[in-house]
Amino acid sequence: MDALRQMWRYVGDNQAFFVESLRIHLQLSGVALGIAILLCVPLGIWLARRLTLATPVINLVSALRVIPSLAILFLAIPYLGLNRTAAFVALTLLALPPVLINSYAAFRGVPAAVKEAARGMGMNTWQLLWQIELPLALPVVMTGIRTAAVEVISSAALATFIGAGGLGDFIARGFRLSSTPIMLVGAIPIALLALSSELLLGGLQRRLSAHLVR
Amino acid sequence: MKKLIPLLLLTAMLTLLAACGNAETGDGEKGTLTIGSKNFAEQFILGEMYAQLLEANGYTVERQLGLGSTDILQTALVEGEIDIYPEYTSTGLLTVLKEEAVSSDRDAIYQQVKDGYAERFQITWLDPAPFNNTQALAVTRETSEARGLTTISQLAVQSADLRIGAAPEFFEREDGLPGLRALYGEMPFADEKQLDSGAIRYEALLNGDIDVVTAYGTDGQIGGYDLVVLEDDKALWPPYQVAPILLQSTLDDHADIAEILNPIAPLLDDRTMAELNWQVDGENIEPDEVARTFLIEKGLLESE
Repeated sequence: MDALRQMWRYVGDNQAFFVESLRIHLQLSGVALGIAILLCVPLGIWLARRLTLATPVINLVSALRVIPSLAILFLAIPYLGLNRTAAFVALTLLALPPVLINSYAAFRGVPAAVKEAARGMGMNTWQLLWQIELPLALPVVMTGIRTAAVEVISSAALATFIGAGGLGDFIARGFRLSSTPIMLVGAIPIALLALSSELLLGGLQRRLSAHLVR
Repeated sequence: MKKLIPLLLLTAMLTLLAACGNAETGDGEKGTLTIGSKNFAEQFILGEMYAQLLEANGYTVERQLGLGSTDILQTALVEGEIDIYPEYTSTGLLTVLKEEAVSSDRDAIYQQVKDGYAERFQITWLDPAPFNNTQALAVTRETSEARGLTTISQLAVQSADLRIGAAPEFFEREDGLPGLRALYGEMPFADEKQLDSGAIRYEALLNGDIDVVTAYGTDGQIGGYDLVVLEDDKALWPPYQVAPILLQSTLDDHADIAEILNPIAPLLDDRTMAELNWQVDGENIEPDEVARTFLIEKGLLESE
């Protein structure tokens, strides 16, 4: 309890810095996730229709998963310098696999019989995608996005190691000073952000589903 | 019979294991000592020097080098996880004892920290090396010449145009930015970048991502990259001399540790230490190699 009180006092004393770090953290994770969604959902849909190409592409993207995100960060330094760009690249690479793999699997999973029935009813490709495939695929696509969001929010803590800031600054500082309160100033908000992203995206998924089905 | 085979195999393996264990603890008739260190070049080199000299004098040595922050090492030493590690006088005084220095004289500070450790932790300090690995701020020679920047007082006037890159703890510790600001005035920087690793801090300075960097007096990079250390003209930073520290009880049990390790101290002045650090940080030679070559060169260790 004492640590929590000290943590609270530290936040009060360093309000501007805390708000700035929180903003950077949200920006880092938000942009990375956004880019991953914009790239990978359409790519997933496209790949679901081109099976010969799908396997190599999916395997390649899955291979990205085995590179630790910290290594990606350090590897990016010589090319991108010590700034936020390197962090964006590393975090985006981290978000790609779950979004792509789930999008691909989701659209692959729409039963052929359903699609045939829709075509039989006279739907064109666009209507089929929008009215049949998307509502059916949405839960699995969203699961991928939720996984990516949690990964990106927690990994954004590593951005501190290349000077890109974010809530990881407090964790590094707390660790160096052996100060649990300062570490918690970073760790608790990151945990809360990850949890709330789950809730928020879960809610969004239900809304979208209801909207699309109607 | 079938059931017996795995049992026999297991017995054979266990016997083998026991035999290996015996072989390992057999030598080192004087006992085993664990050497710790913090995680930067100088500490790895010093830790290796202690380890190699003790080994040459019949001890079995376990290395726990690169353990991290002062608090981790202090705890490890008190709890007996490690037996000896190199610590700096003013770090001990300010970070561990949390006392104010009685004077800025290096001998007085050494005595103060030695007495404080003996009383509070029953830890003793062996002889200190003459070098002073004090904290410092450094800029590139280019920046220094373009802005006429050679002291921290001058920096305080120009800081609003400059970006600083510093270790995480620098922003919080009394001997870091808060202390500098208390002594030199507000000193607002255009940007404050927190950079965890020393190598990355220097890289950022050379790449032009920052203008001012936190450094240590014996960093090899200062000479290697031709940097200018800003003079601490109001004397915020006290002297940081290094010495091996260990529990008094360890020294009581092995009285010759002092005789074995004390001869290293007088050999290490600012320049020598910076050169050794540069061999590790700039030339990528392994710390154990750097330590061995140095000790052989100085006649403390026989060449194999």
